[in-house]
Amino acid sequence: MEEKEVLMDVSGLVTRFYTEDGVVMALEGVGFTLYKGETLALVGETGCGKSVTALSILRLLSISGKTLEGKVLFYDEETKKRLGITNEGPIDILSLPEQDMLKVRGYGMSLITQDPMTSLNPVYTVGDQIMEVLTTHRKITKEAAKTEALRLIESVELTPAEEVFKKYPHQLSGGQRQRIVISISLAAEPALIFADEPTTALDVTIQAKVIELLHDLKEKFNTSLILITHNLGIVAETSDRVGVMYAGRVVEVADKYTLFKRPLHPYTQGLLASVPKITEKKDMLDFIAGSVPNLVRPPSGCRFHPRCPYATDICKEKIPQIELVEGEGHYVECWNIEEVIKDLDADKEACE
Amino acid sequence: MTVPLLEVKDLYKYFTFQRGLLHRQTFSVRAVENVSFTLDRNKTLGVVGESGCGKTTLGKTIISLYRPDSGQILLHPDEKTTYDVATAQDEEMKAVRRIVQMVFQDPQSSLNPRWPVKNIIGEPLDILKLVSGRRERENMVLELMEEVGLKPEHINRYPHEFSGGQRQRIGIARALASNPDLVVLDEPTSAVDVSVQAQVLNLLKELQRTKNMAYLFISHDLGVVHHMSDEIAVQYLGQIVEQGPSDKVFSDPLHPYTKALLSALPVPDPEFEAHKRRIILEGTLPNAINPPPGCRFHTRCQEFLGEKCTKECPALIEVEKGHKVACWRYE
Repeated sequence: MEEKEVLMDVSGLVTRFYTEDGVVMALEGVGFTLYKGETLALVGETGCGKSVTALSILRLLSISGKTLEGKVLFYDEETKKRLGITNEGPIDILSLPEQDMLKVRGYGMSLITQDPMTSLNPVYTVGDQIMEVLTTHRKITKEAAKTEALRLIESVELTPAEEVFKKYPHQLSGGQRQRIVISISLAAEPALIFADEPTTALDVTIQAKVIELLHDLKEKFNTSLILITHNLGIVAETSDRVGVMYAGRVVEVADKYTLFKRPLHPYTQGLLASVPKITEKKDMLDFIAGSVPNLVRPPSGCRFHPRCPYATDICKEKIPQIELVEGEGHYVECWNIEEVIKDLDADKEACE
Repeated sequence: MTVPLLEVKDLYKYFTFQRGLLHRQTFSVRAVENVSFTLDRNKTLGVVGESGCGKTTLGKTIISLYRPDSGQILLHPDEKTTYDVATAQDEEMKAVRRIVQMVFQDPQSSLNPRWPVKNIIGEPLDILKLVSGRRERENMVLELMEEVGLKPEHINRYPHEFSGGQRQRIGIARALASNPDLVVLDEPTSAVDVSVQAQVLNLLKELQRTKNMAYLFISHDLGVVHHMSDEIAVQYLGQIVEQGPSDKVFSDPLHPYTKALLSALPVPDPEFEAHKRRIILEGTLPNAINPPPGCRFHTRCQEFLGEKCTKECPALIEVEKGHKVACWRYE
């Protein structure tokens, strides 16, 4: 297997929100590695911290949120050059001055948000909004920026580009607006794009189109993608590797084929089994008992233990660490992983 | 032959509004157009379609939250009785309300935040005069709470004290209060998470079995509809374009729109995804105020036949036993 080049290394992110209801322990030591050119999907249910992970890395948390611990190391040479950093090694994102961070959010990383109606400015034409990114991040004239903007509009397959350029967001449909947001995120040619539920607001047939486009553009511009979604179907369709999140922790990481075929964390197993599929028909669905915990008072130890069929005493006391369990890059954090694997193998034998 | 529980015949529902100078121009949104189907007791009919196709309007018209412009909605609670929901008044309407209930999409906005669970579930019991006396009412509410898996000690709690999944259970208990024969479920799980969704879907199946209810299950989630339904109707811009047994529609779709919809659906199975042939539809959903002439789908159709599709609207005809489609390809 060829050696993959690391683009970003995230470790031990701890993010808290200070709210009226108390301190929300949104992230409790999130870590993962992102390779160049790959699509990493972060999946999980509402409130598991997948969006907060993106916002913590981009340093775009609202005023009540704070990242207390952790490291984000960004290995992009192009961004380093633009920032004028000459010393060896990666960029330490969390310790950059805000001035430099403005540049990173452009050349380095960009964000596609869920709802294109709220992320586009309603009083400017979409053309102006694309040009704003171009003139801020690249030293080009207004005419050149306009040509470039038209090219970007064409690249997201909106035609005629001239006409779309002059339109306001409300004159476009949801799918078209999301494509404009995608073109804005590509404008400064970043090394990494975060797509936070990019198609949740869209219908199935429009979603298919946007996902395809995102995938093609990623290949064309050779960027990496962190896809944040709760839709396991989209994960199976678009990602290379998957990180499963639960209550502020990444509990399992694997390539998508392994993850769907042989999920090892009890939460991942439950999650996959509880989705109704059109490829098979069951009378009753498997489900995970209970509901997602409130992160103001998260459970002690492993945060999944109150809902976990494998839970033992140690799970209540200590948070397990993520470890390489099987084969190439299948990481799981679970105290009782041996039990889980034993059960899986027993099931397999029973089937044979 | 026994009569079906519900018979919908040539149902139309337009929403009209005025616009322009002195409101002289009248527009109408064709939300439900020429819809007919039957539903047997104990069965589930799934209605799928994208946002704006009129599936929620169809559901609301059937429980008479909207009056249809024309058409019949015939309910046969037993062999001899027939009610037409479309024209029912006063006493008849009360009988209809007992027979047909609805569970709404968003439990946050469909439950009164100032009422404890006791009153939310008890209200239909009072209005339909199904209980006499406070003791009986409370017992009935407790029984319903137990049936949907809510703890009896939570009877005095308010909606905000429950999680999303539990709130949807309250909505289900309220719908069950009148012991209905038909329940319209409008996206009952779109506001809850996947792991909780499975709990709610299992509960609904369980209840259907024990109480012999028919469901009209409205959803945009094809996986969920496939799991829940015996039969499926695919709606596009107000019209039903394909209808048939659930397995048949999913394994052997006939209408080009159904084919595209199924191929666009991401399936949580990477190996299946890798071998799938995808049909990507061009363009967006046309406006229901001014829908395309002829077949509504012809502007986006990948199997477009020519002039015929643009001029005349195809009728829903039976191609195989129980499997109907509205497309010129099958005429």
